Amino acid sequence: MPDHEVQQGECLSSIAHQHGIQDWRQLWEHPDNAELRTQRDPHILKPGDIVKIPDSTGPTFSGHSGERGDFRLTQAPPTELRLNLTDNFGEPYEQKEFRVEVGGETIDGRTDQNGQLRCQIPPDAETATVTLWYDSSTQHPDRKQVWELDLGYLDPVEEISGVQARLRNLGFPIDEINGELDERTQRALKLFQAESQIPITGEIDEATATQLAARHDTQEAEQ
Amino acid sequence: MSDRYYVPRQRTVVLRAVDFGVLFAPRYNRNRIVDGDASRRESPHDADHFQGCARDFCETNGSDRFEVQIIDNGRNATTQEGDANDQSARRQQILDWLTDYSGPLLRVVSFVCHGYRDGIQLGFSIRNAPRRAETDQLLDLLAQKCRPDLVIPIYACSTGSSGRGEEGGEGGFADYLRDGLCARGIVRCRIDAHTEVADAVACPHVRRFRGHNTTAGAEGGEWIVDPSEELFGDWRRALRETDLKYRYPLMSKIAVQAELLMPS
Repeated sequence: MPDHEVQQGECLSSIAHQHGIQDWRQLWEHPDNAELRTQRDPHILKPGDIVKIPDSTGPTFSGHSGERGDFRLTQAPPTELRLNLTDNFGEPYEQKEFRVEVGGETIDGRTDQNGQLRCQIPPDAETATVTLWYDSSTQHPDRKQVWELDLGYLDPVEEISGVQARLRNLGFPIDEINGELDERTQRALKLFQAESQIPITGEIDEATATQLAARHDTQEAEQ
Repeated sequence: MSDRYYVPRQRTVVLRAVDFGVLFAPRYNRNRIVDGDASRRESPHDADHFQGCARDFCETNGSDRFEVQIIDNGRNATTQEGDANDQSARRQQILDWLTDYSGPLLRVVSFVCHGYRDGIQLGFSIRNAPRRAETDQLLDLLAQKCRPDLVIPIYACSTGSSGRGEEGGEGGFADYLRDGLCARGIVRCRIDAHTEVADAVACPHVRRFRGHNTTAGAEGGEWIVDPSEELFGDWRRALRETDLKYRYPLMSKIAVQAELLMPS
């Protein structure tokens, strides 16, 4: 069973795709990845993590020659981009037109009543551009917000780089995601702590990490 | 700064709109502003103070996202001998800048200058119908170039007060801006304005005029920290001694009060 060392930008779905495994859950639920499961979210891995790649992920069946059997194919879940888009007061941009440009495709849609953008993306896509129109893309094409995304690059919140990326996504001023608790990061942490009404330390303490994950990483059932 | 955002696949995360903003500050003051509170004398050094404060605001909130525009006084500005009463030149520079602006929609537009109950040194007032029409030009441009959750910190004296006994600064300059922005669709706007004559950035008498997600505007504003509250002393001290003075415009009222109650 070969090892796969996680690189920046990878997650279980992209690794599974890379190794010809249709459903990333087969990889994640393999017994040899039990330890990794206790440490990580399958979609937020840390560079350097080791994922065990099984020699064969397909199910095996036994039977006698001449015997008939019924087999049902299960569809692997599509790889999705899911974003909750808000203004700076935390109010969702509900029912707004959006465009996602990813892997050479252009996907147009509308956020739902919670401001959620959801669309299927190629599992190996590494970048995407998201455009949201405040009013109408036809009437006011320039009144828009654009985000340039690196897909799969988010590190766990236990890492400084994971904290920096979350702060930036939440609109706090982070110049560079460099994995260093520098002055700029501490200043952004103070802004976040003040807004979150937790003690203002400028440090990544437990309350801050917990609050940051709670505000940034939406809890949801595994899909 | 790299303006790329790191997100996972298959997992929902929150992306908040990014703040971009501009702060307008004067280049030079002459020794008297006649077009306002005629009794107030000014020093040319006031302009240096305003510009320094504007730059400190950018440094605190992200110098890669906020910029300072220095507004000349008008005629002969290059020799710093401009006519302090020539409001039209200053006003036009701001209107021109906004007209030409083609970057991301602005979240913050700030004025750091002298102020009066009915206007600011940088050329906008609501004193009479012609002046209000000029200010309406500003509002029209803001509605085109800014986000619906626009924040306008007015770091200037008195614009959060009407001086006519109305509750909450109703009828004053900040109130007029808020109502005008709401009417133009900037319905979540927020304008922070001082009610007293004091230091441009450290004045603790600050009212917040919010849009309430309706084009109808509202009646006056509310204190960020009420002067009658016990917390007011801490607020005054924090503004004087910390960078809270540059951060509070981007904070909720509750977050400001929480910071005062839970300092590091």
